[in-house]
Order: sequence, then C-alpha cells, then structure tokens
Amino acid sequence: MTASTVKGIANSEPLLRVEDLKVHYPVRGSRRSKVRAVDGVSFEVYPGETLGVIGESGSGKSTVSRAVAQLVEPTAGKVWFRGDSLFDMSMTKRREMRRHIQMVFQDPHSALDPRMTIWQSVCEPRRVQRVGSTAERREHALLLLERVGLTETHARRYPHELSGGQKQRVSIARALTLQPDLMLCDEPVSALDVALQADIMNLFAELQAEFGLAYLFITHDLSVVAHIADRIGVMYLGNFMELGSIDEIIDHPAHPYTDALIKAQPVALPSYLRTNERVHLQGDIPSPIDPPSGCRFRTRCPYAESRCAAEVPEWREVSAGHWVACHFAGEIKLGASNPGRKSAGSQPESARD
Amino acid sequence: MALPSRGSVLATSEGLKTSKDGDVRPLLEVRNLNVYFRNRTSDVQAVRDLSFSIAPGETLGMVGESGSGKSVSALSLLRLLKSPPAVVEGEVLLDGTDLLSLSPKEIRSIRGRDVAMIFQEPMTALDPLFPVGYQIAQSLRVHRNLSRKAAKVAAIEALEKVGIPLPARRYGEYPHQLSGGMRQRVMIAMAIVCEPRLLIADEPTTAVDVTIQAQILDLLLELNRDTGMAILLITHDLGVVAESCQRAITMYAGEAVEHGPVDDLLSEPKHPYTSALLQAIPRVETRGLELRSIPGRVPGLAEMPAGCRFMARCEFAEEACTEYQPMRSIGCRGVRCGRHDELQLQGAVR
Repeated sequence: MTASTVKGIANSEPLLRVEDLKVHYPVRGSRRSKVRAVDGVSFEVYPGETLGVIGESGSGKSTVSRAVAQLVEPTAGKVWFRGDSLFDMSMTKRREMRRHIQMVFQDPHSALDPRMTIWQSVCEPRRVQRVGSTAERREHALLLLERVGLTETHARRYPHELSGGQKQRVSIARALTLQPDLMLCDEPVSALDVALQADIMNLFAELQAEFGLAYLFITHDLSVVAHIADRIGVMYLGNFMELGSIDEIIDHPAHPYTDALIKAQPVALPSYLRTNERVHLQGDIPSPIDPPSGCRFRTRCPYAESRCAAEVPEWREVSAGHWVACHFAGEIKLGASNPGRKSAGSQPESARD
Repeated sequence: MALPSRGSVLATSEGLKTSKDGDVRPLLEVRNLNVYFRNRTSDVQAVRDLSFSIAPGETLGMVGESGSGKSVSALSLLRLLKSPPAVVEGEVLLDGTDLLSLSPKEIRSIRGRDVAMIFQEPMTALDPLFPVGYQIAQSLRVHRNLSRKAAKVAAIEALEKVGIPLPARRYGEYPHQLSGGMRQRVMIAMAIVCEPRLLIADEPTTAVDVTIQAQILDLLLELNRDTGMAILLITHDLGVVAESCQRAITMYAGEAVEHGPVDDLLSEPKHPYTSALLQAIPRVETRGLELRSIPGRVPGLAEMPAGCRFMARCEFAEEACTEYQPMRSIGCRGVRCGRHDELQLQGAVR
C-alpha cells in the first residue's frame, strides 16, 4: 500500500468521479420536508486506491455508496465511471457497467441468499451477466473461494452453516467474480470480532495488490480506515467536511469535526502513552430533515461563531489534495493532542515509507 | 461436574489485596463461577472457573470476543439467566452475602438497588409502552418506597444528572422519541437512581457512535468518581478498557486467561491471547503495519479442550499445554499460562 496515495493521483484519470451528488428521500405525510441523506458531495476515486469514507450513523455515507452502486436514484448530481455518466446511459449499458462496480455489505448473513449454496451464490453474478458456461463458472467460483481462504467443502454448504467471518469471505469472493475495477465496501468488518476483522482487512489489502482494485471503503471506525485507506473523506450530515491523504488528515486535521473524531477514538495504549485531554463533542447529530443553516456542524462545534450560521463554508483546498469545508480552517489550532501521538515505538510516517 | 479449584480462588483474591491499599474488603467477590447450559440432549459449559473481585469504587474491565462468556458471566452474577437450562455454580459474594443462595425475593431487592445493570441495546431494555421517566421512577417506588410525587422529582433529578437536556419534558417521553445516545443515558439514569454500589455495564457503548461513546464513558467515569460506585465494564474493545478501567480481565472461550492492572496488561501482556489481541487491533498510529491475525477459531462449547483453550491457536503451545491450566498469580496479576515466565510477549507498544 506504500505510496499508493501518490501513485493513483499522479498518473491517471479518476476511475470514479462524483459531482455534487444529492440524495433526498421523501418524508411520509409531508410534501415539503425531505430527508437530505446526501446533500451535495463531490469526490474522486483513482484506480487501485482506497478512499475511506468515515462518519457517524446518519451522515449519509452508506447512501453515497448506494448511489454509486445505482441502488438508489440520486436527486441531483452526476456520477462518472471511467468517463461515462452512470445515470445518463441506457439501461442495457448501465447493466453492463454494473459488473465493474461490486459491493460488499456489513452483514454477510443478510447479503447471502439462505436458499442458495455458497457455490451458487458465488456463481450468480456471472450467470446474471452471462459470462462463461456453467462448468466454467463453477470452476472460477471455486478458484475465488480458495483465494479468500475457503475450500470446496465450504462451497457445498449453505450460509447458515458458516461463521460470520467465512460468510464475509464468501461475499468478497462473490464481489470479485466479475473482475470489478471498483469495490464498494459498506462497513465490511464492523460486524466481526477483532481477530476476524484483522484477517479480513489483511485480505482486502492482498486482493487490492493482486487485482489492482480500487475500494470505496465506508466505515464509522477511524482506526480501521487508517489501516486500509490511502485517502479519507469525513462525512457529517450529508456533506463532506474534510478530504485528504490519511497522514494529512490524522496528523493535521483542519476541520473541528475530524479533530473531534480523532480525539473520541479510544486507544488501547497504557495511560503513560496517552494524552489525558478528553474534550468531547456535546449533543447528538441533528436531524437530516432540517439540518442547521450555514455549516452543518456548527451546533456541536466548539469553535462556532455567528458567521458559521449565516454562510455555508466553501469547499476549499488548504494544501495539495487536502480539502476542507470550514471558514476557519488553518486559523484554529487542531490536532495538537491526538491520542497516541506520544507513542514513541511506532513512527507512523516512517512506517509507511 | 464442577472442576476442583486448585487454588486459583485464593491466588486471585490474594493478588488483589496486595494490589489495592492494605486489606480493603472487596465489594464483590466471585469465586469459582461455573455456568452450564443443560438440557436433555446437550450439556455445555459456558463459563469455567471464573474468580475475580471488585473493590469499592473500582472500575474493572472484562474484555473478550463474542462467545468468550463475558455476558453470560455478568448475567449470572445477578441470576438473570433462565434456569433451567442454565446452571450456575460457585459463589458470588456481595459484602460477604452469597447472591447465588438468596431466595428469589431477596435477590430482587438487590437487583437495581445494590447492583444495577445496563445493556448494549437500550431499545430492547426499555419498555416501549411506558414513558422513560415513569420507568426510572418505578425503581424508586419499589426499592425506596417513595411516593409517586417524590419518585418523579428524583427521576427528573437523575435524568438531569446523566446530562439529558430538558429533563422535566423528557420524563414523559417514550423510548422511540429519543436518540440512541439519549436512550443509553436513560438506561444509566435508571441504573443509578437508587445509588447502587456496583454497576454492571454490558457493552454500554457498542451500539452508539464514537462521539456519543466518548460522552457515555465520560459520564460513567464521572459517576464513578463522584459517588464511588464501582463499575464492571464488559466490552470487546480494548481501547474502551484502556481509557476507563483500572484493572481488567481478558476472557477467552469461557475462561479468564489473564487479569491485572490495565497498564501492565497493555504494555506487558503475560498471556499469548492478550498479546495476540493487542496486535490484531487496528490503531491509528500503527497504520501501514500489517495487522496480526490469529489463526484458527474459538473452539465450540461442545468441543472444549481439557487443557489450555487457546492452545490450538497459540504459537507458543507445547506438550504441557494439554493439561489443565490454573490461574497462576504473579504479584497483583494472574495468568492462565504455564509458560508465562519464559515468554517475552509483545504488548500494545510496538
């Protein structure tokens, strides 16, 4: 994964480009109010890179991935995949396009059909897209199952006969069958125990190196995203607050929300290596039906001023590739006491080089 | 059926006494807890030979993966497991009184008054048909014999104490009207309203977002500081334990495999499982390093080995590990590993 941040951006066209994407859902019993699940996000994913999207529940991160997967119709905005606008093409073309974008979900149990054997499930995408003969599909499926660490015995079983970790491996194998360029991973390790989580995360890294996949990796867990992603976008209430390379975001957060997320993360380090500053955000995430005016984070922001209520902060680039939506980015001092920064044993920067 | 104790009980409690100042009498002392689930066709043991104690005002973390027996242990302390099929053996001494030998009526008077419990999913733990304030007041009406009016005043005070804005208005609201974080606060209010001496918190922050988690943990620690209420915090998250507990127990496959002060456990784990777990956790500052995977899986309840239960997945396993491993005490710590004195294990600091 080393230097992939640079590799993706430097030499290629974006694989996926999302521009001003909005997804609004109607509210039952009201014609005027809408749930603004995603309210104007723009980002790019480059070939072979991992873009992590982090946010709390209700931030709209899953809806972004669902829109990219064409599982929900966006209210406004454009999504380009390899230069083609996804929502402007014919249904036939769209269906054909879908094979290049595959998805892995959080709960592997509900993602697999309980009435199909594992083998059938993994063959299904190729069957739907009419690739190869039945025998070829079965052979290919087995190859992939073996690649993710399962055997022919597992292939003959039904989902309920496998453990959570094994089922997640099956979902990953199934997502790989059509050799996608982009994999949308929606909280794929959140339902797993620590040991399994480590296995699956390592598997994601290996598969990326092997197949040159790009991931849009959605999670609520900052430490997971820090391990897997090259760049992270921080979402709050349907908008991106900050976007940049992982090191830049964690070492030099420019948005107060990012800073709060980093500080709220419990760290499994002995007390003498932790800084004891525990300034935590107050209150809950507001309702996406009636988001705050101006900056959406202002109701919980410790630095909010009157300007934040009046003006929507501009999405601007504070340093190369580091985007932020805050009036005071660069002016307020953030990230001075990140947990674990004192950790002398590991130098994060040097570890990556 | 019960296994002989082989001195592990004594070892644990002695270890504690030296660690805490002088001879503080533990608030809760669990001795040789064994939990079985029995029915006609099967007989499995979910918790084996668990002994620990909590001093007044202490915060003790119990960490383990799912299926490690931590929730079952917690539920069995207050006899909340349905019996049959559950069979609980051993002693759970609260101030010297064995909770396991009390009558149903006596244990009911302890639950919620001396020992309170909060759960992972507040939506299922709160009654959807009653206003949250009413549910809090019930506890006072039952345990304190307060009048309806006095109970309401005290319940509103409790809501205020847990940081709920407009407590008087929230009193009359139903669980579905509150956010996840608010519901968890209501649960805490309900638990602390009778000023218990021990709070058992079973994954209290697993279902909430990280910023809310920080708020809830802060609140629990504040209550611990202000009222001297001891906390048994059950979690799968070593980070949560690191930030909020003084001592911790690592559970694996129904057994406590290690216990000791949190900092020692994190910096110098003595049990290979604790060490492996620490290497497997993704941490922001170890990004770029490969996560350690633990090969194999937790043995099923029906196929537990007689010896060390981690043996099949342990890189340091040897012949002697097939024998039963008692909890060995090392000063104020304890470890269920025969090789603890020769192994140099990797801690959280790489």
